[in-house]
Amino acid sequence: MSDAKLQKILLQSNDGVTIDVGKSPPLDIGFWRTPPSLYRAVAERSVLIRNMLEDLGDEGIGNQAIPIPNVNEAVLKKVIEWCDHHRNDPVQPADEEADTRKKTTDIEEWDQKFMQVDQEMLFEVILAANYLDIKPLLDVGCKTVANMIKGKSPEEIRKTFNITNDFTPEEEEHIRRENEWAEDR
Amino acid sequence: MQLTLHDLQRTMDPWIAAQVSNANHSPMCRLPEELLLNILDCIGDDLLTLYCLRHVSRKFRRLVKEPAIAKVHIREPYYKDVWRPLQERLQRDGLCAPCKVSRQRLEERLPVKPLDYYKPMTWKRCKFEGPEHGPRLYCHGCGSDHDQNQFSAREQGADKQERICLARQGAVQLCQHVHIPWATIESHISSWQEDARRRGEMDWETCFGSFRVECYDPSHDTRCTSEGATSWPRARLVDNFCIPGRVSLTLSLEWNPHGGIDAGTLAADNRYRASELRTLFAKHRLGPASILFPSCPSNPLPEMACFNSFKCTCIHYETGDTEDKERVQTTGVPEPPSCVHPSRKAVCPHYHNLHRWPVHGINQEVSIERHGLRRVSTDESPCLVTRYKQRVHLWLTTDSGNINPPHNWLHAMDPDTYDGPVACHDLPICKDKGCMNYYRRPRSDCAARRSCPT
Repeated sequence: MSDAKLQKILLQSNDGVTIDVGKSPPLDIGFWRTPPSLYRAVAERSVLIRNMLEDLGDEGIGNQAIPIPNVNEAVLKKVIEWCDHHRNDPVQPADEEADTRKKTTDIEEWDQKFMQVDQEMLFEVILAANYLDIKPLLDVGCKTVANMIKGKSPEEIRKTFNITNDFTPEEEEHIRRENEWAEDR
Repeated sequence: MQLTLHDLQRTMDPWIAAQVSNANHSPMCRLPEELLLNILDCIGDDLLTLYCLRHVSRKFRRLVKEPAIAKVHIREPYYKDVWRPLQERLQRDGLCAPCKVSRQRLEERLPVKPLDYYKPMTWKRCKFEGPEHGPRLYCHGCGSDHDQNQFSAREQGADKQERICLARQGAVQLCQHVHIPWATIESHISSWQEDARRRGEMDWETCFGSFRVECYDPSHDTRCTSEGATSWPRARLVDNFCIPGRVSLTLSLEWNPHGGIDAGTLAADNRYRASELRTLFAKHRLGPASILFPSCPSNPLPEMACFNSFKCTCIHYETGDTEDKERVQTTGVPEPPSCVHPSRKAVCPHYHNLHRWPVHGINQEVSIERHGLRRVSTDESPCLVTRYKQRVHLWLTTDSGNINPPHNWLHAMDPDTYDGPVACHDLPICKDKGCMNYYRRPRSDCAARRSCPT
């Protein structure tokens, strides 16, 4: 492995904080720390960063931080945490990923715990996964939201996601007719 | 700091405020549509959830219709295994607390469910229809037998001598002051028939044309000028067609209140202000409007549905001063309107009306027109006339020489004028206006009407 491969990856969040991929939590916790050889594997879970690293080359990056303008520090750390946990996952072809996504909303136990965050963070992680092009993380996020929607009535969905009924009066008339069958009169 | 929905409604139209609130306060609604479609894709073929999502907000209603998502289109849940679970979900939102308890008790009380239990309401047995092969009782008013459920509990007694059915006990309501019992229609037609026998010819058209019931209560006087004619709430009989032994006619109930030239002012772009229209319609709803065209809790002013929000350019929605208004869609036609102002010759290409068409029975219609006043300057607002109509289609049968009320009449009657049967599956009648089982809301269709003329 060349020295370049052992190079640290620095990411800069939109609030100006530089994050060392090898030093983001929970990797700092306890004695264990990510070996430098794996920094790149973690960062390359993001197709966006991988392409950037390939385009610039290892020397082109040097010790400069890669700007991630759409993601703040807290969310970026959360994304890196996920990437670190899944650094050894095999990369699936795009079609296969899409098929898997359609088949099930089952989520691994670790991912379920990872996604137990407030809604603001959950949707920020989804947006970040989309921006950084981390398809498996995007899937986990979308499945988490889908599971939150399932089994709920329209009003319960509104309350869960703080959505206000914004139907026009014409649409309300259609809905009234559509739901009339459910009455017991 | 972002404003709450309540704060937003102070400066902008409630409909606009709802859209702005979603854009500001719902992290989910802020997601790009491609990501929302990803989420919907994960829901897969869960029809119940997709159906419920269609009723959450405008954005989800549109997205669920996307071809990628609507692989199995469910406009109405015709699948047997979906009916009851979906009904249960919708009832969680729509039923009042006592009705929820009654429904729960019904589930426990009926270990074996009746055949129509899993059917949508419109296919269920009508509350006036007795059980199949159940007892039929003789009505002395009609001179024929009816299902037991067409009699009040008191009239169902075995020792009852002169039994009268509910259709002859109840009455159709025109306004808060006037009810029309079947006897009024019957006596009118009978006297004409008697007259016709003397003349040797029955002129149905004249007979129906001479039927007129009006309410002259001063509260209904909405003339916009003192010289104008007052449009009192009125009931008329309209001839459809006759075949030997049966006559088809319509009982037409109408009220055409005027908004008056002082009802509001046009906005700078010559549109009607939505807030002033709402105030006007709310005023009409204190009168016969609420009877002839009932509202429902989710749409308290159905008149607003006469204006297509994305095609008609007649309405001006207050959008406030915030930058948020850029995120909302009020109309698809940016051109300033010229449709309703009397000083302009052009008219709005969209007819401002709303029909509720049942397959059989009771039609309801509301339409809004400009009232052409003389000497109206360009600065004045025109008077708006709102026409409320309810039509009850009647098949008159002359069994045993009597003129008998048809099944539609039972559903058209004011439920407070008779000691009616309970709701489906013996559930108690609900008097909570906010509940989906509110007893005064008419059913738009009923299986019994198709099979049972009386």
